[in-house]
Parts: sequence; C-alpha cells; structure tokens
Amino acid sequence: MNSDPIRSLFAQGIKVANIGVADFATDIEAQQAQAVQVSWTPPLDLGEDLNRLLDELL
Amino acid sequence: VSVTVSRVLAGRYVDSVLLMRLAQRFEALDGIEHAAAMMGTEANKKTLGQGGFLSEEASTAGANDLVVAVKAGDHASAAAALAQVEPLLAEHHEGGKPVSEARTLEQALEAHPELNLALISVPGEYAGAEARRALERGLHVMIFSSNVPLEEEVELKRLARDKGLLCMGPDCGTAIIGGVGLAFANAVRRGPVGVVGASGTGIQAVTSLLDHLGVGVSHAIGCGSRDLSEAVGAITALQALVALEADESTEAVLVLSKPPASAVAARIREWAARATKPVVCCFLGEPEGPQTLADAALAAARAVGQDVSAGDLALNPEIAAPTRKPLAPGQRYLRGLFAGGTLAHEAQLVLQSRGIDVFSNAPLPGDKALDDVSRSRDNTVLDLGSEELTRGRPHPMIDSRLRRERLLQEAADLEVAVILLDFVLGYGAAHDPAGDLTGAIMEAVAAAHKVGRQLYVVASVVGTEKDPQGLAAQEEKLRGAGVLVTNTSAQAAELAASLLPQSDRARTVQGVREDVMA
Repeated sequence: MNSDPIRSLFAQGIKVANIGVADFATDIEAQQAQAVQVSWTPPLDLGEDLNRLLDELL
Repeated sequence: VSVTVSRVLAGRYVDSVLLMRLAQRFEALDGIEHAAAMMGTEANKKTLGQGGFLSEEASTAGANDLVVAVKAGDHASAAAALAQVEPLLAEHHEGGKPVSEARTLEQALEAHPELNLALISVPGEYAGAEARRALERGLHVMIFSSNVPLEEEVELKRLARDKGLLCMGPDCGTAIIGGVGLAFANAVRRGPVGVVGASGTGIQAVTSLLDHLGVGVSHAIGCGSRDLSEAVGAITALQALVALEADESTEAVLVLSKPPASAVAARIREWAARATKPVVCCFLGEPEGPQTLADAALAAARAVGQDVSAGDLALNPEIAAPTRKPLAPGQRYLRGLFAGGTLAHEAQLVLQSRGIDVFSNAPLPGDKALDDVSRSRDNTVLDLGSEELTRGRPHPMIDSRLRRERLLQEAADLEVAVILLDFVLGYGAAHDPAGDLTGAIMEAVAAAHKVGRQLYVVASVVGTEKDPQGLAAQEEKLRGAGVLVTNTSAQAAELAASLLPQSDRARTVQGVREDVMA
C-alpha cells in the first residue's frame, strides 16, 4: 500500500464518486472503470444552523 | 401568432446535460418553434424572462424545480409537447443510467469505501461545498464546474495539498488518470508522456495529437483555468509535477497553459530545470517554448525518444491551397466560433502573428475586447465556452445550439468571407459534433452563394479514431458539407488567414506554397 495518496491514485486507478452530470459516470463505466452516481440536488435553504444539522444527520 | 406555454415540475432536479437534451427533443416536435428546459434558479429565471419564457407559475419556481417552456405555433402543439415532459424524462433516465447509484456521498462511501476521486459537475455556487466534503473524506477531486469564487478555489487547493490530495479545477474540463478519461477526454493510447495543464481543450488537443504521432499518455492532470494565476500559485500544477516526477510510467512531462503569471511561470520553469525527467513547457503566447499545440505535442513526443517531425502533421496540399473562387466586393473578415477556449486563444495568436487584428470576448494582449458579445466586429474570434456564455447552459462541446445560431448570424454578414470552427470529440462531448453543425454550414454557404458571395468554412477536429464519435467519420462529414478540414487547430487559423483578401500575396501554410488569390 502506497502512503502517498496521489501515487496511490496513479497506481490503483480511479474509482469515482460522480456528483452531477450523470453522463460522466456512464462514460467512465464505458472505459471499464468504476463510477458511482451520487444523486445530487441543490440544498434546501433552511438557514445555516439547520443546514449544518441536516449535513450531520446525513 | 406564436403562443408560449410553460410547466413547472416541483422538486424534480435534472442535470444540465439532460436539460439540454430535453430542450432539443422538444424543439424536434411538430409545431414547436423554440423550447427551454431549466432549473428555476434566479439566474435561469432571468434568462427565461429575456427569452419571453417566464410565466407567472415559472417565476415562483425554485432551484429544485424543473421549468419547461415551449413557444409553439398554436396551443394544441404546445400542450402536446408539455404532455411529453415526463415520458421523455423517464426515457432519458433509464437510457443512460449508471450501474451504481447512491443518495449521498456518505452513502456512496459506505457502500464503496474504495472510491478515491469525486468528479463534481454541479452548478458553480454549490461546487465548492461538495468539493470540501469530498476532500475532508479523503477523496481527490476534479471540479468540472466553473463560476466558483477564486478565494474558495485557493482554500480548496490548500486543503487538498495539506492532505496530499489533488484538487483538479474548478473549471477543469479534462483529465486522464491511468488511461481513464474524466469529463471531456479523448480515447488515447497509454504511454510515457505525462501532461499537466491549465487548459482543457489544450490537453485534449495535445493528447490526441500525441496519439496520432504514436505516443501515449501516462496521466493528464487538469489543474483548472486559474491554477497558474498569481492568486492560486500553481498549487495543483506543482503537486502534479512532483507526482509525475515520481511516477514510474512517466518518462517526460508536458506543461500546458495560456501564459501564466510571470512569477508562476518562473517557478514552474525553475522546477522543470531541476527535474530528472525532460519537462516541456508550452505557455501559448510566450516566446519561449513551443508556439502551437501541435509543436507542443511534437516536442513531447521527441522528449520520449519518438522520431517525429512537423511533416507527420502536415496538411494535404489540396487543403493547404484549396481551389479559390473570387470573394464579392466587401468580403474581408473572418469569424472564429470556438468551443475550445485554448483553441480560440491559439487561433488569435496565429492571426495576430499574421498581422490580423482580432476582436474577441477573450482577447489576447494587443487584441480588442468585444463590447457586446452578441455582435461580432470586423475579424472576431469567440470563445463560446467562456463563463459568461455558459452560465445556465451546457458547454458548446455538448450543446451546439448557440454555435449554430451564431454561425448563421455571422455567415449572413456581407463582410464575412471565412468562418473558422473547431470540433472537439471524445467522452463527454456531443454524440455527433460535426453532424450538429453541417446543416447550418450548408445552409449558410448556400445562402451566401445565392447572393453571389463565396463563403469559406475552415475547421479542425480534436480527437482520435477510438473516440466514441470516430475522428475519420467526423472529418468526412465536415468535408461532405464543403468544410476545409485541417490536421491541427493552428493550421486551421493559418488557412483561414490565407483566405482573407489581405493575403493576396504568396503565403506558406505548413510548408506548402499557396497560389495568389484568384
């Protein structure tokens, strides 16, 4: 195991969490690499405190 | 009389590419003159309002609400189109669905702890928070999104550096890690050249040209357009250089950018001088180093011992000196409509070197800034992928609608003699970039001929045969529409310049002597 994260990335290849345009995930999969599509929607504007609380809960 | 009707789907978030596809599908329906599909952000509602699409209902939409609006010849056509919203959404969702999905990054990491990079392409105002979340969980990030504040970029890159992680972007259009392309990237062979670039289409052009020269790429690290600014100080570029220096699969490194801040350029050159591997620095527009993207690719190929010469990229003489027909009196300008920012930059450099003054929305020092981006002046080169033209809409490498409209607008200008275009293939790009514009090109040329004008269309195509669109097929499609297709973007700018009436003297394009204008 390489302790330098960039060297590890180069050595192990990319495994992607895709946050946004779903086509990018399918393109990565088309290249035989791993991609997980994260469903993303704009955060609700609940105010700073509630947003932080929601972040913690999630 | 046209009618405009809209519909709001509350709580239905759709990404920008799917929005673009929805609008295209609506515009293809019978009786629909124009369509818009946007999320209900304040900026998008402003855009909808400017287009006459903002109904009372749409004006109350929020950032999580999908707004679809159509302008149709009659109410029945409009209603029929809007009834298609949900079936079209379902069709698209099922069609290109990724294999694995998670509701949040945390859930994704719980199910897949091996994930090591977050690719972020959400609207710019939210991208920074997503990137921070990913970095804090130990992931490298690539931020495709633009419109992220500079201060936030500096904070994210410092955080990444402190953790030993890469923060590629914001405004990072491309990267290739271990042979896998991210976002806009071409299918190129693997090999010994490492690339570090603050220029998305520049990286795509050089990696594609290297592939053409028989040379592969180990990793291409996009840094984002501002990484080499004084404020950011090349944080990502320097991390990438150190990593590529240590990488066993990399034998030489190409650094590619528009001219960086002078202190930053000096720092990179100083680093390059100390490196144990050859480092080619191409800062397009600086007198030192390769002067074009093609020269940069050739220099990088030579640095890994490949026996290459400029002749390997030379133009077919029939293209370099096409059969010329007389221009009509008054035809004297060119208009460059670029999807790639670096390709637009390089074209301006070539034109400037030929003594041609250029207006642009992204002018070089010495060129002139356009006051109004919607109206070209004299010789104009437009970067249609610039931030001001992509706010609330997909990049022109995905969505050709803006460029198609602009092409017809420019071609109708009686003073225009040459249209200069770029086409960028690869993952992430449109399925058929050439086909998206050939109809408009043929329409523009036919309209010019009808009134006794000659209209030249010159283009270069960035890509490889292994790209999903296929380089040869795309080039052939353009040639079929009468486009003069060159091998490199600099050649296209050279050829376009030579077709202007100022060039009624002998010129040389890539070593091929041209005849004087007819």
